[in-house]
Amino acid sequence: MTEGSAALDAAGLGKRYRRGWGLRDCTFQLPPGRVTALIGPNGAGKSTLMRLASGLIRPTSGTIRVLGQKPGRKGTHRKLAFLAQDKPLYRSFTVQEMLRAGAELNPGWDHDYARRLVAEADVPTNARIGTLSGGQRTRVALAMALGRRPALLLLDEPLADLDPLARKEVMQTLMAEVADMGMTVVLSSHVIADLEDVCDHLLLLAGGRVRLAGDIEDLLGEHRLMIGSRDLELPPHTVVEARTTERQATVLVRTTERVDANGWEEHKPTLEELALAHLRSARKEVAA
Amino acid sequence: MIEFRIDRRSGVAAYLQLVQQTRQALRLGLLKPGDRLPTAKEVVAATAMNPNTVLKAYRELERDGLVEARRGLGTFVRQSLARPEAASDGQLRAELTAWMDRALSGALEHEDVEALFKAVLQEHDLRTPEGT
Amino acid sequence: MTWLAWRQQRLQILISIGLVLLTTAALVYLRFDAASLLPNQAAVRERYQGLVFNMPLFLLALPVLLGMFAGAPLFAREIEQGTLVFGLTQSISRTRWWATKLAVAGLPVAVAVTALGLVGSWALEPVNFLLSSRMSTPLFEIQGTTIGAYTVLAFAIGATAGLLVRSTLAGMAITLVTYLGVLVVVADVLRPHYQAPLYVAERFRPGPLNLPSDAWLVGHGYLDAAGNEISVSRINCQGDIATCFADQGVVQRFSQFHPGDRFWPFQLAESGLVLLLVGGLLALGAWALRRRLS
Repeated sequence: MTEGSAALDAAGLGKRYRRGWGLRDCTFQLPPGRVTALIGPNGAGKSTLMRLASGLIRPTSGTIRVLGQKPGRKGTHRKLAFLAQDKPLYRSFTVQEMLRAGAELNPGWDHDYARRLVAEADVPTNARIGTLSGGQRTRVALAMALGRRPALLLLDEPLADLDPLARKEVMQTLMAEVADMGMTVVLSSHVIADLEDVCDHLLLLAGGRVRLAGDIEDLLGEHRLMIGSRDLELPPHTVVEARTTERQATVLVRTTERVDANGWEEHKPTLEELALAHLRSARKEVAA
Repeated sequence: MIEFRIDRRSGVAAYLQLVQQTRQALRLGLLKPGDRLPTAKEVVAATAMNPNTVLKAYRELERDGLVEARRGLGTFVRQSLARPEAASDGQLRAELTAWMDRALSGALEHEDVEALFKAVLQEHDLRTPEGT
Repeated sequence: MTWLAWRQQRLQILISIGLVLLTTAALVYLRFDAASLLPNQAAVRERYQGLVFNMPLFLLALPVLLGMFAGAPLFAREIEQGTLVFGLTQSISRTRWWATKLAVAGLPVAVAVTALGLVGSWALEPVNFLLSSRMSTPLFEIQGTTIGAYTVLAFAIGATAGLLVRSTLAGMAITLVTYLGVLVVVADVLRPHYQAPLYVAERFRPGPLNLPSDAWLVGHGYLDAAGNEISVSRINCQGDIATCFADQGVVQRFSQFHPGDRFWPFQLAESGLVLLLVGGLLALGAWALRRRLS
């Protein structure tokens, strides 16, 4: 990827709060047109990263570039939309008034499009935001974000506290818009299963640092999950994490070659297995 | 039109599942030359999967010469994989049905039959590495 | 953005303006009714003595009430409800968002209260004889241009405090305490010095000072034969006060006061001073907006 073509580009990015570093020494690029899973435990720095990108807070060190530009104080980048975790909307407004607020605050607002998204979600436009269900609220908040016609959409835990049906519907809407507009999406979640089919790029954060970043297929291809007896010798590759029960050992190794180790049963890891192994190993590092 | 289904627990990459399901539909004659495949948007609106996955599957099918993308129109089937022998009134199918009846009426369970079938197929693959 | 700010604050704005208009209407009625009773001062006194005693306190509380209920929640509630994040992640600059909210919520109320103050000065004319000098607290702050300026001050305190402490309730408390503090300091420490008071010395005699009825007395004392100020004690006096004071060396008494015709210059001076303070508060708010917010 060439310089400046990244949708989100961080170099040595850090943010210190009074209680300590929320994000530290983060360097990564998110390629355009991809759907990135931003994964990490609570407090890993996921929200901090999104708030830095949307210009709500300023980095303590390093830089972050959104579509080539540093966030300033002139509002969020025109082509970036950020949906915060609590889906902030004016509770006393009707849905229609909320959409009007979007139009007032954004020169590039696509009113027909936002209205259509709300209509497709079966949310009555004269209902007050405060009376909507969690799912409806998320759909309205998503319409508010998409109405800006973003090239980069940041969603902080968009599926938290939604029922399974609403989760599916929100993802369907979101992915249909990605297919339509070719935008870059960053989705944060600590429920990895939610992101498995949806995302094609991974950014794994733990303790404010980047632990793993890259194309998900590539990353899965570079890892092998080995299951065997605990007495077996560890395979001669980079071991991300080794866990043992009384008899059995489960080892995640990082390699591009076939492992072919005697006695080991070799599997391709799922995204969840991969992410959890890296997160556990990060936690052990911190504890050590 | 074909409807895709993703089995997350199968361990097969999502785009490969789409490729396999399309090939299967072509084999069974559910898709015929000239048929349009659903657009990426239609697929993801139904499955909530990543549109890049759909596009990747379609590129793979296109590389195999099974489908072609027509700009602004969609992706269309070029070639069928259906074989007369596999159709429901084909000779080979009738023979296999008869074999299956025999196997299941004997001591074999459903899963035994499945395992046996796969094992024989694999042995065959090993003898002729080029495949079919 | 103007529509949005209006839609968010319209309830507070309408209630505030309704309250101010009602008060103004009551003052206008007072003016005409009291004027119709004059020149019979006894009748005016009988009907309005109680009211003109209580009304200044209500009018003194009005700006701080408006500041607490219209100013303090302006930003604090957005912070509490998380909608601040929505407002600040649109294509509008932070400063414009802040300034528009302040202007839309603050200006209508400021204009209405200023009108109330000007009408009030006119409306109180027929009952002024019942009151002490209108240059002293609380009469000075509740009319003319100062009541408008104090409203803007309370509003600015509320808005800025809410922004800094991120809590509506704490913002309201800070508004109340700060506003009262400013009121006391300005009235007791600053206002007497807007202009040098007039000085009158006369031969000492017991009885009330001989000052115009609308004058504001800011100091008085006693002089000896050499013209030096001396302190005298009333405690040891038995019998005739004049003799007792004379025994302590008192020859003259003096008074310092501002005559009633300084009312309007003082009004403008104090309004200007308060608005300077408002400017400082807004600068603090703008700083917090850039540095501290989120």
